[in-house]
Amino acid sequence: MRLTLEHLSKRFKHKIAVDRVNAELTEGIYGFLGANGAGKTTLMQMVCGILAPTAGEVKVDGKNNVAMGEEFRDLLGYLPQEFGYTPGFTAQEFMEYIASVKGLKPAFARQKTRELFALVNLEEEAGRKIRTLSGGMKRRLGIAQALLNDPKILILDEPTAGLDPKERAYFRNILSEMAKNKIILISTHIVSDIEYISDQVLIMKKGRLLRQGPAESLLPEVEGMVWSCRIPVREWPVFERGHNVVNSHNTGEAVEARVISPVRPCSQAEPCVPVLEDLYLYYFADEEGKK
Amino acid sequence: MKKEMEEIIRENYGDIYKYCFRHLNRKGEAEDMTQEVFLRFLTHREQYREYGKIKNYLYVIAGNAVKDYWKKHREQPGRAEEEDEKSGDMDEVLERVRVRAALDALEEQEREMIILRYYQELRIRDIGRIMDMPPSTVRLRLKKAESKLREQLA
Amino acid sequence: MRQRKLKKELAGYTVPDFGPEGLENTLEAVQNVLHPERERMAKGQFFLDQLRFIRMGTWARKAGVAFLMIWCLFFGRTRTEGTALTLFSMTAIFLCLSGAWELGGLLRPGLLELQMTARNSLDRILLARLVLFGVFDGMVLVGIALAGSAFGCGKSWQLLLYSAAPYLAAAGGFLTILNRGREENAFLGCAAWSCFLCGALYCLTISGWKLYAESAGPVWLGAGLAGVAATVWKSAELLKKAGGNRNEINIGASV
Repeated sequence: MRLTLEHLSKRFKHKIAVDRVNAELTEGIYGFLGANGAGKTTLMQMVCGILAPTAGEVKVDGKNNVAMGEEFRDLLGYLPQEFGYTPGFTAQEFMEYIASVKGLKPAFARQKTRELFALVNLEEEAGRKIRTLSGGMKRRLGIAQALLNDPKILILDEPTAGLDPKERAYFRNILSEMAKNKIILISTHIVSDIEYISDQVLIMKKGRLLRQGPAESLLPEVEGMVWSCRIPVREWPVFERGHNVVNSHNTGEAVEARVISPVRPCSQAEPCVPVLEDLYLYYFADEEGKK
Repeated sequence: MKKEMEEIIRENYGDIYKYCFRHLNRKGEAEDMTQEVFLRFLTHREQYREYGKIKNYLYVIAGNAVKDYWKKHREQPGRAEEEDEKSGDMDEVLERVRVRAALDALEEQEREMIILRYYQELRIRDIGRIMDMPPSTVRLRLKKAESKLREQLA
Repeated sequence: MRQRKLKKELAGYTVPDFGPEGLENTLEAVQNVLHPERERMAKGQFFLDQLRFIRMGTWARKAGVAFLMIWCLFFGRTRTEGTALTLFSMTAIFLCLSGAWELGGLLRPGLLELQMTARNSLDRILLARLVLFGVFDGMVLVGIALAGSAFGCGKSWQLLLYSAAPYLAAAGGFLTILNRGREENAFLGCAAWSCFLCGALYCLTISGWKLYAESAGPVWLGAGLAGVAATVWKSAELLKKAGGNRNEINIGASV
């Protein structure tokens, strides 16, 4: 299966949210990395077909997604950033409702729900009302509903927002297992979510697709720009303001920091092997309020 | 697996349908039964090896399906006249009735052999596998059926 | 060979060709057995299946309102004043409100998008409910009108207009509101519209004008027809908007 984004653009009244994005996606996990406001959600909504592009189109195996109608939606599983649910329903009832809306026959829906609850570890909460579930459980429910119709295209918008590290790890595992025969798009601004599971990383900034490729192929860009430094505590505030710091650790006598810099930031700086987070901060330092 | 299955169905649908029709003499029922044969085949696919070929196994299933049908409907085999009257001109209809009457005069096993040999065009060895008897027995009984038929048709 | 001759004779027993649907049906049946997860409900089955997801509370509210309407009528029988009839008209508005509330529940952000991306998109989901509520409420109103006239509370067509006109006016307003706002506002908006209509009815009643006299019939009829037009128009708009794929949504989601 081939999902193609052709010159995809979206303009709202005074803002260009997505600017001529081109991409061709086949089976695997694609991590869309970008800060808030980068256009990821808008892009995903266009891929889902619920937002009409102002230019360009989304195609599946050459056919326009909107023109495909029901057939396209049948292939789709979507977890929006803000997950909404039917008021007063239990987790089980909600799944059966979404299954019905997806056209699944009731008997099959019940069986599939059982399987999915086992997968996302919600078996014990099946009979509980959704509003009583924790944030993490709601997210898992959201993922479960997206999988009901065994979608070939899975779109997850900030799926791990609000999850604790354990839940995020769990979620990564579930996704990795499924990636073989699905096209999975994940949008996030948390690098660790996609770092190890993505086949390709797509970096979006201000609506434009800056880079696309496997993480290893993008890292050379920041090769030689990632440093490990040890700064005296007194000098730290000044240093921090003037440099792009990935992370830092105050040991009491000094601050050990990982820094992105085109030139050696301080005398004893040691070069480091870049990882995805470094690349992210290289692109998004200004938006993250640094530099 | 699905592709394979689809090919099997497409290749054999026609023959199995004709076989069922010759037993039931009703088009709709023959189509339903053909579907039933393939669905049954689906659940026991692997057993075909007992019969040598998939084709043979399909005929075994079809034969059983026909037997089940008559048990349920308790009619005498070969009685449905309506189908004959529906299609074709007078001569065709007459001819059909004549041949069917001749076939009805045979014993069940003999009729089955004639159908498998002359209509479904199976080899003696395959007929033997389907009906669970050695080829020599098939040849013998087939000869007997043939001479009976010739008498009837003369 | 004699066998060839026999074969020729046997060929006289011709078999009609099987129909192409026969083969296709068989292929589909096998496909369903091999891949049950690919089986989908037909539209009709979907509409019926949706019934079980309408909250019990909604039906309970409708039943409650229906009983209230009947009580108003009988209350009005003993009192000849129009206040009972005013209450009767007002309760019709709440019959509509319960349905609007159910619809509103589906338009919550987050849930909205889920439904729009599903096979039976939001417009079908809404349509199923609009039709269901329309039929159910219609039967309730007609039934009460007939029962009421049978018990001498008034003429059946009058009773029907006294309940249907406010119902339709309410429906038109609710649909307009649902078309626009986000869920929290929608609920308040519908409540406000209901109060407004009730207030209007009340004012008209105490204004001294014989609102429920037979002479006012044409006014009710006019209001009813306007209500039908508004309801149909706004329903169409809502369904079009819910069609998702083909239309813009502007739910203010973060970019």
